Amino acid sequence: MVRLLRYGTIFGPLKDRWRYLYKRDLYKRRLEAGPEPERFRSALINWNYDAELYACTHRFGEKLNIESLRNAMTDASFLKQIVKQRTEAGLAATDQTTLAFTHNQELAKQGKQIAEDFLQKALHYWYPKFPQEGIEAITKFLLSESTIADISSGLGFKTLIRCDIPSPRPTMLTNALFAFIGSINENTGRSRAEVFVADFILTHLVGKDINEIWQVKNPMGLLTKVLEENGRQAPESRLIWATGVSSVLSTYVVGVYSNKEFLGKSAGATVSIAEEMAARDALRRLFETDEKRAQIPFDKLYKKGLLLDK
Amino acid sequence: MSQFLRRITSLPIQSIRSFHSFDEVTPAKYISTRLKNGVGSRYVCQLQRLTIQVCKEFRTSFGTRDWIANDLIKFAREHPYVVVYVQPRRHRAPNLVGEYLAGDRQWIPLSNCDREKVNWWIHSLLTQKGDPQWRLLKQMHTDSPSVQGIWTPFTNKPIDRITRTYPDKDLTEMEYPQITATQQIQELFEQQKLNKTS
Repeated sequence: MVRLLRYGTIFGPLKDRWRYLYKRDLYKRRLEAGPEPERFRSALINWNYDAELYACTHRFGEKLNIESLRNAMTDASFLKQIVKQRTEAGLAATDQTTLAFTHNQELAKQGKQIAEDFLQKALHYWYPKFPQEGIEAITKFLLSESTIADISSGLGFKTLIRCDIPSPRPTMLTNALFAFIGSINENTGRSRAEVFVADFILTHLVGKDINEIWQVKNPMGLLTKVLEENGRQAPESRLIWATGVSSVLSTYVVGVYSNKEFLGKSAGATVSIAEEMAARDALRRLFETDEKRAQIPFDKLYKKGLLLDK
Repeated sequence: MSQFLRRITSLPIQSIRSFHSFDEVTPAKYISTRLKNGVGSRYVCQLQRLTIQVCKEFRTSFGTRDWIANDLIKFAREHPYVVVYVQPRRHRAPNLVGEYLAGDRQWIPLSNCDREKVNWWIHSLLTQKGDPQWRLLKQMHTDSPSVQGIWTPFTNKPIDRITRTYPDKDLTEMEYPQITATQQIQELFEQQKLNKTS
């Protein structure tokens, strides 16, 4: 048997027979008891929910009403649990309607709408030539449950959410973050909520390539379509260089041209791979989303002229 | 040796106050921030709640008691985003427990620390990310590679090489940026000739 716990070292080596037996018995009992059950953070003695909410409003520099924040942090499952408890205790349905708070579903819906609108606007502003389809794909990635749940747990909502299980599920975390955005909108206005989205959701794009987030299956087809829309001739691919053709490490460099005008080029192990990658390179150059492009100025989106019309 | 000693003593929790031996190979990582903190227009303090466990009687808590009496109110006013709990525990050692936004926890024993040192440790917890302390690696890495891209044998290769017919006269001729040694000597020789005649 692997020894998971110590029999005891602070009393020195277990020379006494009685002490050895005593420790061994304790050890067996601890194993039988199994792992500790997961507990709510609020079950510990150092917990003051009002103080936590007060700190939460100051953490992000938002002036929120505490009651509004309390509603934003209340999950539907918590309300359901309370209603169930009251029913079991024998309270009538009329008494159950007198709860002082509601759950965050409505606020979350509102917050998600704000986030979606703002992200699309910001991406359109910074990547004006990127097609609508791609911008929708990036917005979908940023608002996906895994991304938002990660952001939400990183902002410390994990312990603040009131729900029926100790570690909230991703849907609960997502709802809490969107509801927080919704309550900022209600308390201090839409622009403030949008700055919050820019600071915490849009920054998830740092270090990520947006061309890889939007997966194009047929780049040459898309390139043809884009060129047609712009009134240019169809793309032609030409072999620029080739080395090691008969070896394992063969390399082909293929360029894509439209009416003898250079669009993009790339290398590949076979001609078809190189051609596909060249088409992708051409798309990057056309959409102005290649690596040379500057990052989104996350802290200066408003100063740079976005949303000045408001 | 230190690894052996540590195995015998087998401390249950490693506080960041513990001694680090450079002989050991410990886990390492790159320095990073949670959620690109500070990239947007605001910085979020990662310390969520701070619990100060203190004894009212024992001498080991004298600095901690001092700090609570003199600096706690000021600290709480300056940092309203940290929830501070003070937990009096009779006849036990003073501790500092910081809980962070990402769910991490840092524990620091404050036995026999004076007021200044207590303040130092509290601000140490306040300004960190809160993840377990590991060796930090130097970041020889970039998210945005060079403008030119990765160098290949084809980078900056003149493109007219495929349109030429070989053997090509232009390519076989050598270009000398400076005059050669032979030419230099010839020039000197001619100058000497001129000097002699004049």
